[in-house]
Amino acid sequence: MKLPIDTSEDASSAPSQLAEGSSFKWLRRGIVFVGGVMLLVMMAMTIVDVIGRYVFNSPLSGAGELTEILLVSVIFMGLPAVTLEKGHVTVDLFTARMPPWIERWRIQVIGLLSTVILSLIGWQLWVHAGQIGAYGDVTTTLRIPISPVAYFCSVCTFISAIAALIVSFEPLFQRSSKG
Amino acid sequence: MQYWPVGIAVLLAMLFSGLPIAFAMTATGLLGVASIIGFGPAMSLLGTVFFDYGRDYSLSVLPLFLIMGYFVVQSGIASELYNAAYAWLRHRKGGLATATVLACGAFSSVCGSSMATAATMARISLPSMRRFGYPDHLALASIAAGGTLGILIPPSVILVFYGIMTQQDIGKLFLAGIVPGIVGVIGYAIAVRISLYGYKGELPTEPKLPLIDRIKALKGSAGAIFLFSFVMGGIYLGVFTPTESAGMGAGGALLLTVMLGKFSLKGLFEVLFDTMKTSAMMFFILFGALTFTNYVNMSGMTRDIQTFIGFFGDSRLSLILVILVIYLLLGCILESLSMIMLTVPVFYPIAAAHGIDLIWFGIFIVMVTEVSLITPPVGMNAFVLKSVVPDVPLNTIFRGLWPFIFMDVVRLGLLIMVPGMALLLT
Repeated sequence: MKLPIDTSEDASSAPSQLAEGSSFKWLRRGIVFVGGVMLLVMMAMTIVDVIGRYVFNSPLSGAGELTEILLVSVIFMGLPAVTLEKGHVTVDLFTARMPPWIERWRIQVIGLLSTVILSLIGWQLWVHAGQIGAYGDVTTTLRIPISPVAYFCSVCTFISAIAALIVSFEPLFQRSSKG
Repeated sequence: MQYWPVGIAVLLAMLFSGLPIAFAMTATGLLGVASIIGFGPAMSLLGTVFFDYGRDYSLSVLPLFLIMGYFVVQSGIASELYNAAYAWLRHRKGGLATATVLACGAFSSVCGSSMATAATMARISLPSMRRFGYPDHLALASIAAGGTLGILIPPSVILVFYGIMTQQDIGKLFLAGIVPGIVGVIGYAIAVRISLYGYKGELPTEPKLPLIDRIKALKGSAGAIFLFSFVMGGIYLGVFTPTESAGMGAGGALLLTVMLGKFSLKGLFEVLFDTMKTSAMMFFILFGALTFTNYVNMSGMTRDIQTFIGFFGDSRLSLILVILVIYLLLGCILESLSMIMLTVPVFYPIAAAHGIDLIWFGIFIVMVTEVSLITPPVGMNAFVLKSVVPDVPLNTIFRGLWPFIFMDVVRLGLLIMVPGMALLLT
């Protein structure tokens, strides 16, 4: 279900070398574990909710709102990984046969543009989180405060912006390593 | 005076330069909205779209169906389905290719993605087709085309997104996809026969299996049949909401993986990590599309396009045909999910204004998208296969696909003439 399966074999489309680096390994494992557990909880809650409703006539209270919080958290936790692994879907009809020197510039410009857009989103999520906090919004049943979740999403988006920046400078590293 | 063509030009420029589609749509939407209501209000839109839509309960259906699909891929049920289909078709000419199409259809009933279906079936059916001397163009075309059924036969990732963007019942959309999906399997089986007409080479067949053995061969596919009946039956009878059926389906697929002995802790976390990444990727396309939609709605684009389509006549049929042509053209440059997300917000209000049933329209859009998955130059399913067998030129794959594309067109004609094909079960 990974969408863009690459057919070209140039270095730019291979998984980021930096993504394979050991400094990221532990961070990555942490994200995989926490996010994975969140997804499992989401799945289990749905099942328990349905079984509870039909078999024991008592649905799991607050399952819906917990699912909502887990959902948005999982989405934003996956974002840095997708960005670092260049997993975003792109139109590569016109970029597939670029000469290498243009390609290097293109990757840099696209990466910087992605960084700017992600930073804008992260910034607005931060502002939005502040507004939610000011209203003191909490979920209906479990009374979980919502603004920390929004702050978390904002931080994840800023991390993704940094990931996009790393990806954008990758061609420079490649050039210097090849001498 | 509206300037939306400028917005479209900016969007296309960003897309063609290779900026991720999600970011290109976000940026265009943001700039466009800012040009109409000012920069401040436009910016605050971002916070609302990216956070408030992200915690919409009905959207949790997507990661849950993704978990289900990834587990089904891991469970190895695909080879069981292929063996069962082959047991029934092995005495027929081109039986392996027909079995591929049939197994793709069956696999689609538990997996919501076309590319996953094509990639999984390629690993299973291609080796046997090559062993029996099937020509590459037929073997690969049957997989690529069969794979497109993944987004039509429920569960379907594309139908989930269509349902979200048009506020239609995802359960109804799923039910509507079943009959056109079966018609698709039959159509592709006919396409296999058409491909064989001009073929001079020898295709070996095996002696017909006795009925009892054929029935025994179905045993391995029981898990998939049960999972499909459970998930879709639950929706059909109104026992589950689509989100609940997705959760139950994900649990069922996990159970299936355990029962088939393919479960491992490493595999579990692979499934979950892939789900996280695909969710993030798809949701950001959705958020981008929603930001862009705000601009579409403010810019008067829908009204102008409606006027434009009006030049071709006022009937529903002419509207459908114009939309069909636009989609086939767009399908040449855009990948399926982004194409749906970009165009549905523009076209569905027009369809609704003409009194077209939006469930039917969803099936129509998905079927047009299926065609775009197997037509050059951006036939994603052909690309998927190319990555599995790098030694076969893309042209060979596309050459083999023509009979399948022809049957797709026939099926689209049927859907337009007999709307009941989609609306029968809803």
